[in-house]
Amino acid sequence: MDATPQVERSIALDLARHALYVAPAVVLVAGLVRGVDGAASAGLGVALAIANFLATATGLAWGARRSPATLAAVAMGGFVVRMGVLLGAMLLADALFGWVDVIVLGITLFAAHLGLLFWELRSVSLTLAAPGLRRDRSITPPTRTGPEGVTE
Amino acid sequence: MLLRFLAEQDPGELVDGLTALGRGVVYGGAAIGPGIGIGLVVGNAITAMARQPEAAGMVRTTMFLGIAFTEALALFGFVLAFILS
Repeated sequence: MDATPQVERSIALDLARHALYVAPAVVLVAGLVRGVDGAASAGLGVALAIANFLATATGLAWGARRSPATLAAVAMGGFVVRMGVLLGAMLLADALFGWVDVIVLGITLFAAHLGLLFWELRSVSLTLAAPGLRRDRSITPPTRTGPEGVTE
Repeated sequence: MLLRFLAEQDPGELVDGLTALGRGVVYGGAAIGPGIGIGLVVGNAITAMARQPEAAGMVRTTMFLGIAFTEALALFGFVLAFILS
């Protein structure tokens, strides 16, 4: 399983790049709706979503390099650990920083997670074997030609 | 006996306690389904990689997205537990 490319890393970096594009808009909308605290909480939510993707990708890539059993263990254990870390991060942010709006933080985390995945799905579904590609950078499939050189 | 104990409690404390209990049930309940789902995704991905090692890159792509989408369900319960007050 060593020879395969690090597809998880490619997808996670692409998700992070997309998140950087949408983060200012998300922060702006949250700021307009819930004020400065809401804007800061929305920024924290997007950051947590990116960190979650990167942690998943790192764990899965490491597990895939080792063995199938490690991959399964990392996938299942990583889910529990990441949920615990997210819960801890939200509780800690709520306890330490008075400005954190937990509702905005939670909603932004969920919306960013799902929205970025759907965005990435457009690229990945186009080129499943080479994820992380933009639509305009995708490889066009070779055209088949007939015996007389006529394109079918 | 439990009802008697509950009746003796301050109503505010009872509401707080039941809210905390509800949060735990929502978060815990919402994490069960994704846990099973991720297990299915990973199990089938490993089977596919064992059958066709040359397709491992494609399988892992699908697996990563499958895990992330399934995890969104757990995040939904997680957010709902925080919104409950």
